[in-house]
Amino acid sequence: MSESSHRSLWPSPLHARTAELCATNQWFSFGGFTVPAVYSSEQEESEALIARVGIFDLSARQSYQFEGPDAGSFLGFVTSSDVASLEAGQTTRALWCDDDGCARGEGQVIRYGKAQYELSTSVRDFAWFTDGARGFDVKVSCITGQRAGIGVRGPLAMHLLGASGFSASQGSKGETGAPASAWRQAQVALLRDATGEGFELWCHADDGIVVWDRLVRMGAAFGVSPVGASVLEVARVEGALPLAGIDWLPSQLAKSEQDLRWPRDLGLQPVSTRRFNGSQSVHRSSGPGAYKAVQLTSHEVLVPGPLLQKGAGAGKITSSAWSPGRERAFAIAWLKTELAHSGIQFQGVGRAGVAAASFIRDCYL
Amino acid sequence: MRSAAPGQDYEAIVIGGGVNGLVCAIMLAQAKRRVVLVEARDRVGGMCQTVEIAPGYRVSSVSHLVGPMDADVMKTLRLNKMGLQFTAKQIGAVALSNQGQHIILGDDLRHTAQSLAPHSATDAKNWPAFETRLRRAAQHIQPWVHHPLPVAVDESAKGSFFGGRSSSRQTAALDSDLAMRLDKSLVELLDHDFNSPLLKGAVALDALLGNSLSPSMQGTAFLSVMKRAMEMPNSGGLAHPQGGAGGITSALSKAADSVGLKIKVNAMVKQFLFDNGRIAGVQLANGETLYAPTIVSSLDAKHTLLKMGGERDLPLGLKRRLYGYRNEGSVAKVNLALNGLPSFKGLDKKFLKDRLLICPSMEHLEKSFAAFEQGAFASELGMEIIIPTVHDASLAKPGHHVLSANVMYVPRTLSAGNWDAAKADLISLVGAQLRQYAPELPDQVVAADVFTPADLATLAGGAGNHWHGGDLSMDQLGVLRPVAGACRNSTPVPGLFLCGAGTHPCGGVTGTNGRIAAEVVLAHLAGTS
Repeated sequence: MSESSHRSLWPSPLHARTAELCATNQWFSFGGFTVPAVYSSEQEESEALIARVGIFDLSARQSYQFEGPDAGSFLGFVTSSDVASLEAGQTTRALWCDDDGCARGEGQVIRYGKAQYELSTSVRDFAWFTDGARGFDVKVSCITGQRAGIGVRGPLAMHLLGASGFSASQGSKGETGAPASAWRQAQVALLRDATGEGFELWCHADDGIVVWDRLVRMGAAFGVSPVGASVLEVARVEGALPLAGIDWLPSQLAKSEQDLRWPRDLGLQPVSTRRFNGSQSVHRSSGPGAYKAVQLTSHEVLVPGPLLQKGAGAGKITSSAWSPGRERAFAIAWLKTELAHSGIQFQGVGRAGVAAASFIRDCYL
Repeated sequence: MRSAAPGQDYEAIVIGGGVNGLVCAIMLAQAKRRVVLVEARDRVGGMCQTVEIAPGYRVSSVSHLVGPMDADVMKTLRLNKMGLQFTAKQIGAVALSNQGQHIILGDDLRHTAQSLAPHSATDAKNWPAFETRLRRAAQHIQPWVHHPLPVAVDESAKGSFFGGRSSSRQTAALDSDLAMRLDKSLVELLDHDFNSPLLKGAVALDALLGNSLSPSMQGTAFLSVMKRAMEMPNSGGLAHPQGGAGGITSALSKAADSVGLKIKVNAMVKQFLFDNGRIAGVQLANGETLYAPTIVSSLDAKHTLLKMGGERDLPLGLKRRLYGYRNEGSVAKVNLALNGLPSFKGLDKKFLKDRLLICPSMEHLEKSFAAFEQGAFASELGMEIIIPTVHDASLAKPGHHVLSANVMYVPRTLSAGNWDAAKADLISLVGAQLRQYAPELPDQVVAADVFTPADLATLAGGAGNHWHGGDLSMDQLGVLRPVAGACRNSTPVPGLFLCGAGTHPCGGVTGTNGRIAAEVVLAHLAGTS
């Protein structure tokens, strides 16, 4: 790829196929890569996710690789998750904090072997890991773009994976996924995704097309459809998954103290006996914070901005989307903790003025 | 925890027998704490030693003046009774001119103005007001450089420069015009008021001495105030100890004996021992282990926290800041044995008791700093010279003298060649430079010796070679000293404390860091017993 190093946006390892399928030619840039925004139509794609199965390109996520005897102890110290207890091929959600216990980023840790882990995240924070690794026998490398990632989601996802030769049943155990399987000499890791409802396949960039083609061919019988970034964003809001940079600011980017978020605000309270970077502050602040990330619902799409309750400020809406499947709008918001109860009516700004919204649930990472 | 667990030998271990380590350990022993001091070398004293460079010629190996000793340390450790005498106090300075038109930089402002007249009428006019303003600002900072950091800037601290024990009641408010310029560079500060390159060069050299900073770097203007605060005349100013810097060490050793402080020499600490995240003891290079729940390190913070086995448990942000901490020394000490009193062109003999500054201009400093950054030394270097035998004739044979020069900027590691070969080059370079000011001086030299920044590191047991334990730049002072998250002598490792020159307030031979650390550690020990 060196001859095209002048590029500021890169094609993903799956570009050859996604470009073919992207009938609308609407693209979206994410993490330095281009991914289709809409393949055919939002209606068609969301129907696939709701009723059949959808596949999508995840390769734009940041991927950091940790190799060496101390890889597990280092990642276990940097993140709030006990990654050393993972079996090879298993995965866990991980959040990492600064020294004061404020969240810097979150992502997914995959264990590939005894001394090999990968972190996949939407937060760019590579230097934090390389600087922090000093004193540990671990090599940290950024392999973003060297991995192809394919998401598989929908009621028939497990069937599609099974039909394609991936033992999806093993991936159903709670938060963790299935062991890496050797498939046509290509090492493919099968993981549960963040919602717990879908799956992710990760492999070397060069093998990505092979895996994608297999899913498309076998998926024809299941009505598989590629899903673009637009519909995935709707699914994210519907799934109550706060996104770093959109719904909350990593502490290194925070402009004021009000922007700082603790793990508990994001719906993640690590085990109190675990020691990790910033854990002292995290454990000290185990009570509820003033605000927390919640999911709201309304009859029309709310504009990101202030959220009121009886005319008084109650919080801030950060993401919102219309769900064609459920025929209502969803939003992710920062809400005063004492107001996070169902039954309370809130007011936000809709397209045509004030719109009512109600609390559904806390967000969780 | 005072009743030691099995194998728990001491209540506290102090690492490093330099001035601050000694002061801290003696104060702990005075408070009846079971404490041991471990020193890597075969003797205590660190940078305060008097060495014989040739038979009959003795000179302070590194620090040639002290500055001034902390009054509380003098009193608490009864150092006068222990034999510490100063043969000269409030030592002034002279900016040497190779034309013989020297600038006298003493207490007497009119005297300085007179000596400036041949250089620039404007400078002569501006100097008294400039110096007065700096001294007034220094009065504001003085409490800050002698006391622990205030816990919080509260109501009572209103009006003082750095919060805490305010001196604003006794002194006029800090002049705002000057305050506006203190975060600027020395170049900006001095160019604003003066024309004479010699004056600006000497004032800049004096402010920067010991720091690896160049005069054009932002924040260096503050150093000119800081230096005056450290050397305020009411605290005795810069002083020359009898018998050289070794005089301080021998007085401290006597003080240590008087309180029964246990000192282990040839005891280099290899690594810390931990117990569940807490500090538990040290392992020495000879394999011996010593246990104590509290450890006070006078080694620099980087070495203490990164090289002794605790690095992996440090908070990541703190670790990152520690790696960014600048504590690379840049001063070489050149000692010359002379067969007679040197004579400088146009300089009255009475000024030989002063510090003689050689630095023709700030550009010279910039050039030599650029060479330093590249791992070399420039052909013309800035120097601070004293002739210790003028203050203490016992240091050399009758009629003979020693000359001691702090030379800036000299790197620890040379990018080309090595110090074994380069030492002679540095000595001859210094000699050549001195010849411009004192033509006969090089012919009076009977022996010469040099302590490079690499030798300084060896003196410190391999840990740190910076006069002040780290640059006194604004990002490394106060609660940021040595780094945010490890200030006020404590560290994120429970039971591990810092007492070296790299802690608040600043370095130099004062003992203040050791005293403040001892207060912190005693409070900690009182809380745990």
